[in-house]
Amino acid sequence: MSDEVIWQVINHQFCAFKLRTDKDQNFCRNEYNVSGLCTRQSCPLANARYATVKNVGGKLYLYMKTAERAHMPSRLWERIKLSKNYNKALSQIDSHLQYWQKFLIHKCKQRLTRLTQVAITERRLAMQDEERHYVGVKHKVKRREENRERKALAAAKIEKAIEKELLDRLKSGAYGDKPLNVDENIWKKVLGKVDEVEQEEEFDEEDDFELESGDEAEDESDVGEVEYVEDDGDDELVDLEDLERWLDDSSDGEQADDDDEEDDDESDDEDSGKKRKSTSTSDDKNKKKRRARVEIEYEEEPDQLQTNIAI
Amino acid sequence: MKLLVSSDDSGLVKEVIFNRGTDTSKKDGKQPKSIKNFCSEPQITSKTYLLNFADTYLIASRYGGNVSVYEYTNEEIELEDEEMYKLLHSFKLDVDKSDIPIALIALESLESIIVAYESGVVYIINLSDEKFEFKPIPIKVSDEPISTFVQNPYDNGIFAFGGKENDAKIIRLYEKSLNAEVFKTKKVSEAFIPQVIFNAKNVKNDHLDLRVPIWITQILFLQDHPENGYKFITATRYGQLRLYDTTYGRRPTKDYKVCEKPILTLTFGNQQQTEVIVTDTHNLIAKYSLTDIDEKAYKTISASAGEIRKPVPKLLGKFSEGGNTGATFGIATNEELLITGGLDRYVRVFDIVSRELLAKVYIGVEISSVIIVNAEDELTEEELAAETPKIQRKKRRDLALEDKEESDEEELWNQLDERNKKQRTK
Amino acid sequence: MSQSTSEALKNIKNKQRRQKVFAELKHAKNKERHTKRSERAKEERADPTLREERLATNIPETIESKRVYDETITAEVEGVDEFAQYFLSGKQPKILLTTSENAKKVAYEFADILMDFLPNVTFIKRKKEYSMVEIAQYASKRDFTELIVINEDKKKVTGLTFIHLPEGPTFYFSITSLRDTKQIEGHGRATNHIPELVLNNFNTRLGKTIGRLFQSIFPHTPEIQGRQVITLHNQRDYIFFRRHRYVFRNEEKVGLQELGPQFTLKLRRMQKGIRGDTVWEHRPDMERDKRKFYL
Repeated sequence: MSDEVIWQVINHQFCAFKLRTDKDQNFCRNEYNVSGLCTRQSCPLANARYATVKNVGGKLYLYMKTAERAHMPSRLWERIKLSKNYNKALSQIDSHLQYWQKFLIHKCKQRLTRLTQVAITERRLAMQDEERHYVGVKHKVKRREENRERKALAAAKIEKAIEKELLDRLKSGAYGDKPLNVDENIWKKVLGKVDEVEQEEEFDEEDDFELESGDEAEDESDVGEVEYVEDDGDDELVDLEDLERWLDDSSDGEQADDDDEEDDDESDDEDSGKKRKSTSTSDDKNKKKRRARVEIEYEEEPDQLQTNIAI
Repeated sequence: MKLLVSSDDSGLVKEVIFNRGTDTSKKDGKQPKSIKNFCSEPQITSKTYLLNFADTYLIASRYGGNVSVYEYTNEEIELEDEEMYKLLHSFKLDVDKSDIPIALIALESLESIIVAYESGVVYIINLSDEKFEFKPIPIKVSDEPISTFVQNPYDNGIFAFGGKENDAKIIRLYEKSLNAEVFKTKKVSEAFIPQVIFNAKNVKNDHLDLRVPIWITQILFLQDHPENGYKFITATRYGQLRLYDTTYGRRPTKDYKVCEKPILTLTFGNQQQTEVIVTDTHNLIAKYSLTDIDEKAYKTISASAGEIRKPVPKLLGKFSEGGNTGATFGIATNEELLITGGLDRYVRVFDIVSRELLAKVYIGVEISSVIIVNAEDELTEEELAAETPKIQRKKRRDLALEDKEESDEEELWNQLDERNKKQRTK
Repeated sequence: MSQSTSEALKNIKNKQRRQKVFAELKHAKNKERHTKRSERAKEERADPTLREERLATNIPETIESKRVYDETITAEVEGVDEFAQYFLSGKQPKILLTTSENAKKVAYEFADILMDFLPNVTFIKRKKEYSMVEIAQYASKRDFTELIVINEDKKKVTGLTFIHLPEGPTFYFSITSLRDTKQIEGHGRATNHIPELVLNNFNTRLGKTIGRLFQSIFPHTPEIQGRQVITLHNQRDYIFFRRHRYVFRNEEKVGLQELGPQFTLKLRRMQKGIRGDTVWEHRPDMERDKRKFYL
């Protein structure tokens, strides 16, 4: 009798466990509900005699409530642990719910089936070894890293760094004697520069020693050549214009075959002419550099310059 | 303070001398007084363990069966660098080349050391002979590989070990009363026969009814143990801490999941043994309380079993000051300090109670173990100079006191004499 | 100056008038700045030493210059070099390339890109049955020197794992800003020549290890007639990968043409052994200090 009353209230008025979806479905959130739907037969509140199967801590239990214990809420639900063996559990349900409504027996068995299946799936997933795990990346962190990368890129000046590194390698001779990645002319210039740097270093070490040895060596080679002495005022040009002059020189053809004894590295006959040219140009620059610091004049300098321009 | 640090990379031992407040990461920070290399091996080895044996020898066990004995240099004697930690002898044990030493224990009462290897073989080496002619005795304690082998410091002859899928076992290796004399007899090997006293059992299956895997990495014995049993803690590679009481049963009394990553070392954090310090392979160095347990701290939601709550020991604090980024293998403690060293190539000194970073020194190599030689800071020259006048003053004060005392005594005697005289005259 | 501007502006309540006044002040300031600069330029043209002096004293602060002191930069490199094999015995790199499980097309496209410039590389399709550790063991038996795994997530390539074989360290980098050759304007066509390698700014102990890693992946003897260079430039813990063809225009200038892909790597994790104990792991906590870098 009171079951009916309870059901009237739940169905027509209010039930805290009832959930209504927009497709006219009623669900019941009560944890003891067998089917999960809010119907007259399924409602655990509106039925004095009721049974469910629940999974508590990994074990399956059959819960039963009877009208006899309706007045003792703390002892209302009686639970029986079901066997881990599926078939045995089914027979256990059969025996415990022997004279109960078919509906409840059926639903309990269905629920048992479903719960075992869920447990099996979970076990299978747990056995799989996940190599990759999802990690949460917070927006703030993600944004911060993006911005820092952008700024790092701007600060890096990659192309400049690469250029510098390549030039360093070229000048230090990491590419060997006859590098295949450089144009011949440029290589000679670089070598000349390198020598000039060596020469300068020698010069710096010996305090007031006039470097005439190098010049003397070239003395013999200049004997007999026609020389036109030029005004040296142009030597105070800015670097840029010098650079252009180098470029012009580089486009010139090969020079005469003159031995170059300053060049310690190579003394191949084929390349000697070019080298001579490169040393001469380097000496010119050398001279310019020296002009900024020390006033020592070489008498041969204009000669070499002259030979350059003559050809 | 002076530490000996062993390098995982090169098998070297470095002696580091520095004071509290040293920080090599600061440009103008205090620098360590010295870092010197010792005990180098001709070929590069790894997995070195260090042991200070009775302050006389320094023992290093290395990969591939090498056990080297060095002279433990006494502090007061000033020696040249070549003289310090001289190699006295090198034992070559008959193990597989790929076998890793997992423990190095000193047995003071037997004047020997025990070296344990991953394959389950344990060697006893007696060091009472000055010429080290002793032949190491191999003892097979386990058929399965072991990852840890520890001694019960409160009961002679009791050892515990565990490994991958090899649950904790306590064995008695020799009788309590045994002493070093046994090595001189012929029946040495009979004295060392392992007897399994306790075999632990795994915890029950988890909520999915799956067996919980075991891989024990550390075992620690507790001091207060019941009459006929032992209490110990194990740490596993799955981040679990388990407490066992042998009188209670074979299953652990408590099982906690403490961290996500494998636990590498386990030490006590205080004298009462209610706190433990745990390090793992990631960058965690943390202190947990064994008594303060939060019953419902760990929550997992399982699709089948619903919400599951497990108890977790309270995290008292992490030693995170100083920025540890690698796995920590080497740990040494004394009453007030915790010293750590690991794969990130730094040695860090913490105050064990306040977890404050006291010193951080960059050692260039990956560290596998740390020994404290002297935990006191060496006084700098200024401090020494400041001390001497104090001492002189103290002496003068003492003399003054003594004089005063003497005069007091004389007065006392005089008074007594007078009284006597008075009495007599009476 | 700012004091007087704020004081001048503070008392004007009318926004429009205040804005006007501010605009005038700003204009005046800018003008003053410009005149100063032009005068300075004139002086320096006359006397270049002044310019040098100014440059010498007026060094702008950069994040790199304010970088937190790291003692591992200057300290000697100790310990065993995991990559020593290559440099001592001259063993050539042999790389095994694969992807993460169930990889999408993007991963295979990236694999194509990588195979373009990695030497001696074999690609295998990843099967779910084998874990990374197993593949590494299989590879080391077959004499491979490196295992590279492309990590793909949600149709984007997000990471790259380098496992050095045998029993070498494991590195995990995250990849960002990946741009294909076609997306680069003015790109050139790469040839089969072995490129040179440029590694910039690998300073700290960890950085040096990473530098060695990259050195051991690429072959040691470049074919310089190919004039190609692969650059891995580390700036503030971001490693920029670029591929260029260069030409020496003269002894002071180099021309570069970009070929091939460009992407950014950031080290997330370094583990000792094949996925063993962690040596270094990145935590977002580490980014809190803007001046501290680990590479």
